[in-house]
Amino acid sequence: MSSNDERKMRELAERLAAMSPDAPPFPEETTVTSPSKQTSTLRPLTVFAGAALIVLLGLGIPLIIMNSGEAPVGTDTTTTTIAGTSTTAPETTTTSETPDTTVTTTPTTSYGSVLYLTQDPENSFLGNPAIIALETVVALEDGADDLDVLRATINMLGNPDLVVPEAFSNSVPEGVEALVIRRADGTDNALIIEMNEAFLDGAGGLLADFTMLNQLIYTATQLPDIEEVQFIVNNEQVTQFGSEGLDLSASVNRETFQNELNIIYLTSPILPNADGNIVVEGNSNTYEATMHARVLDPEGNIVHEELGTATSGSGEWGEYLFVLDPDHFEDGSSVQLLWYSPEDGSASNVITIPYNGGQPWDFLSGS
Amino acid sequence: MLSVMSTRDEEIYRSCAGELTRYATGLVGPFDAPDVVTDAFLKASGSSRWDQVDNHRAYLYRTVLTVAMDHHRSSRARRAREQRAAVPAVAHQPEIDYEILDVVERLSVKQRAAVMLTYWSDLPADEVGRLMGVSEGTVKRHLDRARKRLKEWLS
Repeated sequence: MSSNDERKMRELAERLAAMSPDAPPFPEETTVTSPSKQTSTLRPLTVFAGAALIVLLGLGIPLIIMNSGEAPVGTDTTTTTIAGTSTTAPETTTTSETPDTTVTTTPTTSYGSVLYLTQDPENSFLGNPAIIALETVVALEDGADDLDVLRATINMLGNPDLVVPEAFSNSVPEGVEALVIRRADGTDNALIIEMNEAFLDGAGGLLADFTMLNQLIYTATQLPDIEEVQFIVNNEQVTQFGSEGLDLSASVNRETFQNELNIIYLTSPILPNADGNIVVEGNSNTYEATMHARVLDPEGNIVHEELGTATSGSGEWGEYLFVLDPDHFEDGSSVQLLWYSPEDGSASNVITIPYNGGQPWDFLSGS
Repeated sequence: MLSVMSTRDEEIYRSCAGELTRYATGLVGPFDAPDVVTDAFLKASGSSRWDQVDNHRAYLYRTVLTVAMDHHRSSRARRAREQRAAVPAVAHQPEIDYEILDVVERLSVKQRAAVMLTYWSDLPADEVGRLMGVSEGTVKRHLDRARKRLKEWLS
């Protein structure tokens, strides 16, 4: 970086700091603290915000609408994945036709991410749902970091506008939201996620609560270096979660509630690899670690089936991997995962995942 | 239960309210900075962890950033209304540098934080990272992206 850049960056910071108003007074009003440690108080400075502007308005000085999201004219869109590949587009500043109003828009970038929905398996003795990894994108201000993307992805799950495709389900209730995500102090592999209070209610029933947690945990631990998360609410550990008052005061990971899942589930989105083959991978806990993958045509007919072996089974969770020939696929194909019961030979714990042609799912518009 | 801020809290607040307000000004602008600082202090001091915190100043810096980010997202419509309906301020308000507000609008809140802590507070990247709750590498990425965003202004 040039010395001129350094000088200008310093000038920017100094000119910003020079605008700083006096520090607000110490908030010494009596506060009301609820048992959950929420603090509320009068906010005497609410009126202060923006107060000087009316004078400037009266004088006809141009008004700057900071970060106006109401008229995103000319917003550019680029695509970036969490893994880091990105393309960039020119940044845009738009000046409206009104002579005394300047609207500055911030470029938007689409970031690749993975959302974990669920599916109720067919022919399952326990009836536990499967976690299904699905590739999606989130649109954020350019420059968002991996935790911003993660937060936006988690918040898709509680978004009332989320459109869940017919094949899947979502156990995260509307309104559940991650407020802040940060890396835990002193560790390289843990996140602390501050959830809103709606999180505490769970999903209505013990199994639904476990499923909700698994969705959140799997979504939150998709970053390669993150293995565990701790949920907090109002800056406090969660000791009473959901219908049964689960204690979530300790960190949780993908194994914590794994036994509440279907014995076959999908940990990564079904996508083509560099060779064009379709990769299907996840976890399973089947008899002798054997399982099968099928490719179904749009009418549900089996066009291909192959046997696979996970790294463990018969009571221990293992990892499975299928690399399928793309020639078996067409528009509207699905992948089916199952194992055959040694007792009666029936296809068991069957999950069926529509193949989206390697394209991300758009859960907010339903495509 | 009813409680009153302690004398210790007041001392902590008074020792860093000025620098936090300047920091918040860089993050959300001069009009909203006092609100962000007040909210951040109430949030931090209301936390059950507050009494166990070793470095209250660093904790408050992080909380200001957190509050600023949420404020930034939620206040657009409110800000527009306030700007239309505001009344003259009674508190001291330095002259508004509209050119620089326009420039900083091109940056995300985290990029602004990295810029303010690096170039106003003169902190090294590892210390900036500690106050922002991110790694040193992330700080450098934020600064690099900020420079790219400001390329036109820097030239």
